[in-house]
Amino acid sequence: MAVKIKINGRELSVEPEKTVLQAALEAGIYIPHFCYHPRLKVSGSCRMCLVYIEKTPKLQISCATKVAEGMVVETDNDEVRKARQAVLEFMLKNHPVDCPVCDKAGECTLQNYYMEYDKEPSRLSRHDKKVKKGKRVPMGKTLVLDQERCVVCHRCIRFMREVANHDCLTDARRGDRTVITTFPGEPVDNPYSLNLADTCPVGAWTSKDFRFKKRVWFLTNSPSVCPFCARGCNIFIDHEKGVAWRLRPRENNAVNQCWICDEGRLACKAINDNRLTKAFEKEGSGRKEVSMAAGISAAAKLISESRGRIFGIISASATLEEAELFKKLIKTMDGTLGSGCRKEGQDDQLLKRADRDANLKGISGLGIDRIAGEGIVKAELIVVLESLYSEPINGTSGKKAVVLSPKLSELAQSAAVGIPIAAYSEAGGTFVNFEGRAQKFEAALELKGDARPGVWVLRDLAQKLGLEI
Amino acid sequence: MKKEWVFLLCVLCVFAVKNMTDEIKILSANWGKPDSAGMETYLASGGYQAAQKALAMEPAKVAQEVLDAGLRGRGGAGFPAGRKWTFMPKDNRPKYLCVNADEGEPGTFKDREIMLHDPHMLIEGIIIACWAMGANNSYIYIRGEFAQPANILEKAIDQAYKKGYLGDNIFGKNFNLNVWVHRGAGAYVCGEETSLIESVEGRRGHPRIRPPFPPQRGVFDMPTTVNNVETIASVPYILKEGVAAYRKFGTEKSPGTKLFCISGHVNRPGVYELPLGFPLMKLINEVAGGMLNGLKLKAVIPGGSSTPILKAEECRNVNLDYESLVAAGSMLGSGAVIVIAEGTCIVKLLEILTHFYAHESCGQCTPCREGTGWAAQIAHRIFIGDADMSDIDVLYSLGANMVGRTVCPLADAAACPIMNYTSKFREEFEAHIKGHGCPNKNPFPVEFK
Repeated sequence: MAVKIKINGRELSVEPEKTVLQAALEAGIYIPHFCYHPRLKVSGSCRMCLVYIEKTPKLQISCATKVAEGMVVETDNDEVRKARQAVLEFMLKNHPVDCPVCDKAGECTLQNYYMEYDKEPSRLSRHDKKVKKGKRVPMGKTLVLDQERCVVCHRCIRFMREVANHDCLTDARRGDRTVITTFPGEPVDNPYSLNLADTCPVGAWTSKDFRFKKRVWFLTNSPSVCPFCARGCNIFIDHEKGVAWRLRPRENNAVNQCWICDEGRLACKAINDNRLTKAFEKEGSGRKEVSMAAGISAAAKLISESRGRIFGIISASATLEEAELFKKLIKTMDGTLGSGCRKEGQDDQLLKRADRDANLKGISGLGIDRIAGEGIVKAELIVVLESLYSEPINGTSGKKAVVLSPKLSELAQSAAVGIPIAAYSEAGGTFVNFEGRAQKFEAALELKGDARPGVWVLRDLAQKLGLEI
Repeated sequence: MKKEWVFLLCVLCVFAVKNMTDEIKILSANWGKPDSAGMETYLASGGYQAAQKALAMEPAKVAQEVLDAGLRGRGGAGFPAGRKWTFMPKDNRPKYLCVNADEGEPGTFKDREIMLHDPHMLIEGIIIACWAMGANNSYIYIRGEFAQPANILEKAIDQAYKKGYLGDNIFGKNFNLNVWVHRGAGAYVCGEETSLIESVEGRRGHPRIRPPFPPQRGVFDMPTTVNNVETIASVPYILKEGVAAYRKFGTEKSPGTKLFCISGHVNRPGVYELPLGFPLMKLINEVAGGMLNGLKLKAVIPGGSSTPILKAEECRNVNLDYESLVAAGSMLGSGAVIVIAEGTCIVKLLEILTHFYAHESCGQCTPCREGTGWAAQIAHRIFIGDADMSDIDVLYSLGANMVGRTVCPLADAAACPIMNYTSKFREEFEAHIKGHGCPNKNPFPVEFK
């Protein structure tokens, strides 16, 4: 049974278990908040979401107040505005306001709210001192904590406790000396630790990987899907001028809520480093760079020469589109084919899957099975389509190979012909995750060097071979 | 020489007799007896008869009796104790009684005396209260600094177990009751009921958001009632002597007696048991032996540091009960009367209090966490004269911005002296700023040793 409430004069019909804040946000009425997070338990400590509710003696926190029939809420009257200003003033009392050197600047909740709801000059006297706390406390391998910037919203504590299942953070000391910390000597060592940097509304938690690297307002945020395991977490690739600077989780309740694992996040480096940008042919013991057209011709020549004795290997992290074309091409050339998988990891009951290929389900759906047994040994030529995170496959070393790869992998280095293709981040495509959920995503970055999306290269190759596919 | 001694003795006798007529010994009946904390002493004065009587009654009847007696919470809020007990659900979940012995309010030292001198009265009260609520477990949450009272309590609880007053099937009834003494780690905020519950559970003392209230979800998520030591200790008398006997004392709306802790510039500071509605000036001038060194009265904080201060002229016709003090613009609070004589620097007083609240704020809610510390800084700067006139207004507004904006009332308690002192004694604050420091050589008229 829905209840009727009124927020800022707008009549709403909401489910009774909702809080005022949830009801307002769903109706598009924004109530500022620091400690409230849709995925975490209510803490109710930041006091930013105070609203006026008729027939209550004082302002109520909307994050912890359940809706009730006939409730009349004001989110933007004078009293509420003043209360918000007061909360912001208190938060800024001991905040170092070091935005010029803070990595969060540009996407900082405190900064945004100050501009939106306060904009008052500071009333701190020249005599007032700010409380000194830890400015760069190393917290494990991935994170640095700035306790002075912290607004003590407890999101990090709750994330570690409730989501990461690793109750390692606590607050210590009291009053304005309160700091977030670990138990003495304990690092924040968790496969999901870097989510703290996103979850933190201010610049208290920063990632060692991204710290001092880039101002966020230069970055373009392109939606994508993480290829690092079979979960298919939704991500943003934050990039500038063809360089990916960081990966961030993108909210998707059905897949990854709003988290990603550290491994997937730090895999960002692979987008930029060690990429194959030119086609090449083997020449003696070295490689000779050639144009794309020449490379494709050389590959076509090798393939047609070995017709019938070809083994095709497609990375299980290749997109569905690439896989389909690849299968047709190999089948028309009377070859056999299989998918190349990465080494299995461990299922952690949260996001990470044991199966670390983004599209294994999709590719096996096309009738391409994992490489089994002797196919490779018997083949005269192997044609390999690799992806960004492909690992070496048993039995391929020393084989004559045509390699289509986004990176200069071990296999590509010894290939007879190597052709650069775009990675998931530059090509886009479709991944089918372990549940069978097909997720289509667009290209995020520009193409690198001569590299072209896999489907283009396969199409050109087919044309060169005179095939109709 | 002899004549003078006789005269002095006469004066003392007159004093003693006079005080005896004023003081009513219900809670403090056994205080001062040899081994007053012992089981034998308590039994000799009719102890544990009330518990026996109560356990022969229906639990609901017991709660009704306490409600009829009009016993109000002695911790500060003054909520009717009997009503609080009826909030406990009647289901099969385990229920808990937490006795709040985290006596931390500056100026308050009454619960300590009960536990030191008559712990069995508290234990008997616990038995009755638990019977009324159907609680089989009780925690006495005692502040860590009270090592001696805690030891005495533990000893008294052992004695009660041995006598069969605690444990399984007490007084031959099918009713089990276990009592534990839980020592706090020294946080003022743990005197607030929900953070007390958190602390009992072994966590950091952070107040919880209400609702759900403790009777719905308290200790270990089970129904819980939190009562002050003095409230619980008042219960045996009501059950033993009856509602009418209890209502003989005090006023219509605030019946009974209360322990008043009087401190500050009086000749005989201490704990006195007086009927509610007792005149404040009579407490100062007669019971407490008048102002120290004949100093003039400047102001009184009637209920602990978190209640509004009353100037001398406001104190004249004030009676010490819940309603009269609210009418006078203050609160009865915990009954901690702090007497301030002329010559005391109010700015220094505020500096001390703001420092206390800044030290004790738990750090959960933004306004209190940052506001208390900031206020302490400004109060200190005004006291040493390193401030501008605008700082007084900033200080006042900090208090205004804290009131009613936090999970627990600690911010309200901290804001009260800030707003109250800066508005009632503004000229003193201005004098400090103008004169670049305290105008008095010593902020207190008397050196305390």
